[in-house]
Amino acid sequence: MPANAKECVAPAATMRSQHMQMLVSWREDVVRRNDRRYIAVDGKVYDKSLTRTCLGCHNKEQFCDRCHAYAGVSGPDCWNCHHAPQTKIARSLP
Amino acid sequence: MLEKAFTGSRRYWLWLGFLSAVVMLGFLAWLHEQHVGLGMTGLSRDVPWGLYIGQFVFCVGLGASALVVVLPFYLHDWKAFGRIAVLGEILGMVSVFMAMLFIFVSMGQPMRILNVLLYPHPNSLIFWDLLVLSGYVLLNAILTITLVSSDYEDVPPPRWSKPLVLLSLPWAVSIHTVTAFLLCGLVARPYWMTPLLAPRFLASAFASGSALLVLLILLLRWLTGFDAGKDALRRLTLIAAYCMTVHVFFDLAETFTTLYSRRPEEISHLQYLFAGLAGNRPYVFWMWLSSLLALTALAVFLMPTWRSHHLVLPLACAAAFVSIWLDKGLGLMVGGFVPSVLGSTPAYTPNLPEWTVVAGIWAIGALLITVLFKIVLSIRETHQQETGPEDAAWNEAVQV
Amino acid sequence: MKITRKDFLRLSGLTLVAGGAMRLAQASKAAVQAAMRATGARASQKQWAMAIDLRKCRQRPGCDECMRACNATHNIPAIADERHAVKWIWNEPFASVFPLQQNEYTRLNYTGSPLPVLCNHCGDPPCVRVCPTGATWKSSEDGIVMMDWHRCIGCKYCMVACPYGARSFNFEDPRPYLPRINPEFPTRSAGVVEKCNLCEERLAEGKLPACLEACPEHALAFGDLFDSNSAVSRALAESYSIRRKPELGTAPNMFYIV
Repeated sequence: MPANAKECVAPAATMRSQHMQMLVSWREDVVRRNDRRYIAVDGKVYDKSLTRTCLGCHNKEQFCDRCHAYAGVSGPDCWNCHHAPQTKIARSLP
Repeated sequence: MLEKAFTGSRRYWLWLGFLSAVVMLGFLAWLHEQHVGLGMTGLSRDVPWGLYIGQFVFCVGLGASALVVVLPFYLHDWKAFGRIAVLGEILGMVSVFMAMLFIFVSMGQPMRILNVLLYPHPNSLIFWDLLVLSGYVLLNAILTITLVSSDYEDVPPPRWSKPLVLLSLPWAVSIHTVTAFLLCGLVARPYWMTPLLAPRFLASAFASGSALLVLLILLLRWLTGFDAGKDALRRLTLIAAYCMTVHVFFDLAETFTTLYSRRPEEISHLQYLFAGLAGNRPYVFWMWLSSLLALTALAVFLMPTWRSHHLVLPLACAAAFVSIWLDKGLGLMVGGFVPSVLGSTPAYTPNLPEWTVVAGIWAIGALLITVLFKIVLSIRETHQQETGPEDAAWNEAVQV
Repeated sequence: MKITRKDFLRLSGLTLVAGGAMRLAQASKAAVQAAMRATGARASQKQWAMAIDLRKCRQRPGCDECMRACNATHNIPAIADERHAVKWIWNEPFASVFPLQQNEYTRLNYTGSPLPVLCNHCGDPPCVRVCPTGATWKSSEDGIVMMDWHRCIGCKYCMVACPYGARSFNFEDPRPYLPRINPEFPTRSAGVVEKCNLCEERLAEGKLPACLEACPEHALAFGDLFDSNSAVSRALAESYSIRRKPELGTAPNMFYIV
């Protein structure tokens, strides 16, 4: 995902309420069905990847952890296996 | 009726306290294992299943052996087993619960256990094993609660309990058959791939289970004066004798095919266990001990004077139990994996963390058996005090 | 509307049974497909396979380029303790890999060198058959035997069932044993089983398996076995090849040209 991308794969309100389901369905699609292309509502095509797409713009500590640490929601533990790149850009607030 | 579990002698409470301590130790060892990884055990890339799975197989066998008292009593009206049928059911239920615990502690990601039910895969024997084992525990729990509470209320058990009891009989056979099928369909493991594995499992299960039940009855008599009833002990010992005979015969039949054909891929496993391979011989003593104990126990069981001797009988039962525990609880697993699929001789001996967890689970089983037996026996005692020594009423009542 | 307790219980019980039966029916579809495979029907549209030319591999004694490339690409931990080792592709002596293909009279220049072994991505994989959760399955698209580390419960049944010793269990957390992490691929955590995935993430980008690209002797030929023009098909058409333990009926797709 290009570093100068201006928008997320879906509107912020959608992401806020549905990023959990979206990540799980991306995971099932990529791992189990080799289906790696995500076509957003505006027609743009993205790579279904937490590490490359999401964390290409968002920084884990400054974006994800801010809510997850505060709410005490550990959820499925992604970071035991998936590597969080040290993204310099920390797009928007969660 | 649960209040019966909370009143007991000093000896009773000391025993429960000791068992609880062992359970705690085992639990802590398992927690540490989960935190650090299963690398804390003696398991390895070449031997991925060891003591835990061996104990699982052995305990499923004990679970199936409830059949040896339940079947004669409910299907053939052997009134002699009137007082011990429910004890057999309790032993069966607790053993299968222990077996499930052994599976749980051997998993790398135990918190994902529900995946087996959420994503069913009927091709996998683990799927079926989970279903039949859970079903068996549930079924026996319902039966135990029903029968014991009927006894507590001093009424005959409800009529619907009889079909459930009859259901538990083929179910008992199925739990150990499915467990054998887990192992005997794998082309990678020629030591296990024999059609005789399921029959062998059942024979050794009934032999070890009936021996254990004899031991428990003798123990109860010594500790509490519990009277199993005229003829019960004699008949149970006879059953143990026949089952031990079949078990030894099956083992010898298996051994003949391996030794006579000298097929390398089969004989190498037996060789490792009984003679050692490439200089590795950690199990040789234990396997020969197991065989010796089995033959000794069989000899005692077949001699009427010996099997009714008050000292020789418990020793023979203990010998039978230990023999089968060595063979099925550990030898079976190790023999399956050594030599490995690449021809190497990996070393596996269970280490202290494994033994601690195993002790913890056996302590859970002993705890449950103690408490449940205490409830049953206390209820009987109360009735005896109320109605007199001869509980003909009970014998009458349980013939649903 | 009044409903009696008996009827309510009956209805709930029936619903549960129906739900369970539906789940079982879905799952049985997989069982039927597996049965079809056993009768020889094709398990997938494509079948990725590799031909390993041992004549070329033997030219470089001590070479481990394929292993290094795989280990680096897939974050495979370097664990010294053999008991906990994680191996996707590694070397074994000829006698261990092909015990029935050699004897004391066979020529040593064929059988004296170690050779690389890896998951065979079998046509009828026993590991897939035994997995209780579907954490491993054979892709119907390209025949790769895949792993889903999110679903694996770490029961290790697949390791028990594999006749080739191709699978490894994470006995400990692998991260301390990684000299450097390839950020493009996840590490795994303790408690799951892993094995060669035929570089399916690279194949998705049109690249070739890492081991093949790294081999200095170009001993590995890759491609679709069902396509007679692929590199692997041509390699197999030209030279005699053997597979590991063919008598077991697993139909391995890694071919060794001796």
